[in-house]
Amino acid sequence: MQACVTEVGDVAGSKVVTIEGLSQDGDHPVQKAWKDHNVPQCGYCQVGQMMMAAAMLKSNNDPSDDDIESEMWNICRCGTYPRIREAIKSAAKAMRG
Amino acid sequence: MSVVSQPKDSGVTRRGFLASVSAGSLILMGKTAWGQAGLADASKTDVETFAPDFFVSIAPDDTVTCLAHRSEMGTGIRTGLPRVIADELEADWDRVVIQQAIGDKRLGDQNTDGSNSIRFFFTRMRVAGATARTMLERAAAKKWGVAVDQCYADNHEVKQKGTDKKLGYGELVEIAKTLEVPKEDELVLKPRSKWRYIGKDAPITDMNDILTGKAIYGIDARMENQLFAVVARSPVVGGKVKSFDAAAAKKIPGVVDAVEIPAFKGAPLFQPLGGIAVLANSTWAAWQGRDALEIDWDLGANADYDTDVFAKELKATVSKPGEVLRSVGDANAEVTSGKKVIKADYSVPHLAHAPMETPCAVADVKTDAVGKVTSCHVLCATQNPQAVQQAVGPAMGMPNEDVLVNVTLLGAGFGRKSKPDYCVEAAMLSKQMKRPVHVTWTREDDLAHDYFHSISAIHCEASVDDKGMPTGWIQRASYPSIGSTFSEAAEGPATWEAEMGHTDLPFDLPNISLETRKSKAHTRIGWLRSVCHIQQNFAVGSFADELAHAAGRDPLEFLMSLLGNDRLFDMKNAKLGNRGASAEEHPYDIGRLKNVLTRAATGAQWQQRAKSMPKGRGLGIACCRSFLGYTGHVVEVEVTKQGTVKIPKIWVALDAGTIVSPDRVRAQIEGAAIMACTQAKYGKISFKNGRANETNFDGYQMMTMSDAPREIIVDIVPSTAAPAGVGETGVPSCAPALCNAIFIATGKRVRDLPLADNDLSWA
Repeated sequence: MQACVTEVGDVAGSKVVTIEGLSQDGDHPVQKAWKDHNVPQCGYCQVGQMMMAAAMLKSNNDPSDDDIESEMWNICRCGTYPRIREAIKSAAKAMRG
Repeated sequence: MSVVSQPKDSGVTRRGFLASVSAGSLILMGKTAWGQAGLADASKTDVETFAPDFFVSIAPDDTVTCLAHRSEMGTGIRTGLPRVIADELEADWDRVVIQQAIGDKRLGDQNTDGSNSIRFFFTRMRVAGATARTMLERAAAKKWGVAVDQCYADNHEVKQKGTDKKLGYGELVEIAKTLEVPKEDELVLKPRSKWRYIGKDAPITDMNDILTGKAIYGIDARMENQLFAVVARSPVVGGKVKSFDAAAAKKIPGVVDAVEIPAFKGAPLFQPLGGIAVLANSTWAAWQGRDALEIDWDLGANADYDTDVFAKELKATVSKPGEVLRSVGDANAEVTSGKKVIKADYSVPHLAHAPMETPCAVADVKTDAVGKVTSCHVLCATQNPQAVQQAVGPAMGMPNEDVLVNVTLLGAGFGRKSKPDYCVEAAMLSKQMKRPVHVTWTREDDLAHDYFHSISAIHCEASVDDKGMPTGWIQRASYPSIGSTFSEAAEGPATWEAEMGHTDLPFDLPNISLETRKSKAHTRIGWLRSVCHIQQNFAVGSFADELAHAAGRDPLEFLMSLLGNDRLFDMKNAKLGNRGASAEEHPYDIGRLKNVLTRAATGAQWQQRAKSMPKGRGLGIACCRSFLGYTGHVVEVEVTKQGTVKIPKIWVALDAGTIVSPDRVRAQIEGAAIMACTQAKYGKISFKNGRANETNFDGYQMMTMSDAPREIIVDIVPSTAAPAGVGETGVPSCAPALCNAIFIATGKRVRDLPLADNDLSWA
């Protein structure tokens, strides 16, 4: 879920994973894929994009284009969507092994 | 390239730089991931580093420090310009540290805007690198007692020809420091064939910080003991507070105070809009406090502004003859001579910049016993730290150069963050509260109080011969000017605005009249990525396509005919400013424009596919020269019978001359296409009773993964020409190509953006 539109009260009692919990040193497959595809421009939205992608890949490690389009609804004003799409596919592949 | 996030020994080896940075930012530096160092200044004697130029210094431990003086908002410039220095210096990129500069006019232009960074500073950075390299070679020659032509720099070492002798850069620092800095004409720049980094890709400097959540933006900027402020600004530009009651606001836990920021006088400039600021211990408390304010506004002269009415007035005004800015032959005689005449009016609404990170700044202002400002430090997401100095200095009653401005990363800018009204707010509040104050703009604040892209109408009219070729072409534009932000009397369009896609019409036609009609602003008007090209190239690109279809000709073939023979456009005769560039360095080359058009078409297999698209699908094409670079766009659309537009693929060819960072250029062109499509599809800020109606992303919609173009193919033309613009260059020809494709798919011609206001259903 998107932290920017979620009130803290709504997640009271839940375990919350943020980018710091994804990986301390940026070696989660999603982070690696983001780096391989040089996804970020300004970078401001990318933490949220990566968390959404990581959450999706947890339950679906082979997402179709339609899956990606329906799950990834975060806004990126720089327009990195085509690279996010490719990075998600790469990360999924890496996670499938 | 490494260690940017943790500049090693920055407090020790960078003493000379840090001298100009206040204690406040040193605290910040310790807390945050990337360094906010000050200005490299070769004139200061630094006991340890060799700093022959503002932009580069070398430490005894081999660390090369490059100063990034332009702002990083997603273009990769914080990496790109230092790569140019490192290349010319023959530095090993892994031993280069990048420091972000403070605002300082000695560095030259810092307005990261106008697609100017590489164009303005490519040679300057090469000179900086070559200066240091030459001095290191001379230092080695001195140490070895050999002629300097026997010494050459190679990947962080100076070597002696024909021997095994070599010295690392760090080992040469002591001697290099004692040498005279060579004059520019003594330098020999590296030949293109020897470039190590220019034209080759590297990850951006901030990649790891961005990927691990450590990147610091203006919204994250903190100073010790800071308060958080939000401001209730007049809902109408030019409005003033008549009276206010903050009693309820001050009862909110965490709220410290509520104070008035006076409304600006005269033209808006970069002054605060004015209103009531609520200062609190957290943004949350400040927001609640603001909601509890009771304010009685005098809304002023713009309280009736209604864009439904204004858009009609603009269309009415462009139907009448205007001021002729450029003319060839006699277009008016031609279109009234009885030939077939085709007319169309186009309009684009106000647009907002809407960077993901709203405008944010923190300021620390110190005063003496009588309230005179003794120091002012601003830490902010700005595209132009010198503009911050120029706006904050007078507001604080201090010399501009004494305002210390540190620059964070920007959560994008698109032109909004060249306008530092929010930094002035922070400084004024800090002065009053005698504490650092962070001003946070909410999404609603940003969309309601932007410096908006201007609302516009453009009339096009052409008489045509029996082949459908225009014999007379009239084009008339009206829109409020950006000049109105700086002068109350200014009415648009200004000549320099008209040059962006209107008076620079490249078509080879016998009779042309390019005109404008005056228009007055009723809100703050600003420049948004690609500026007036947005509306003017939408009109030109669409009208050319309309004429092609009216003639029953292929739009690509027709466009090539309009462009005519390969030639250099006579800019002098057309009185075009060419963005200040000389026609020798940056000619307007019709051949290059035709080349990008052809390449985009070839990529899209235009010849094979354009004529045989099934109903509901279409390919559209357009081209443009903007910010001295050239683009051709082919957009493929799929429109459902209900009128929903999908964009499976876009092909873009770009000729921007010499390219420093190819992958970042591709990324800019991808992003520019998506921004253009977003604006074409949804972009509209409307006003009623002087107030913006769309104040969040529910009303000012953005493309997301589900409707953004699925694939964007960028073809960069290899070139040795002078570097041109990129970031803005990618925008203008995309929207007309999109609308031209929609015409093929649906038979419906979009003349009034956004698409969302058009019924595109078909049967």
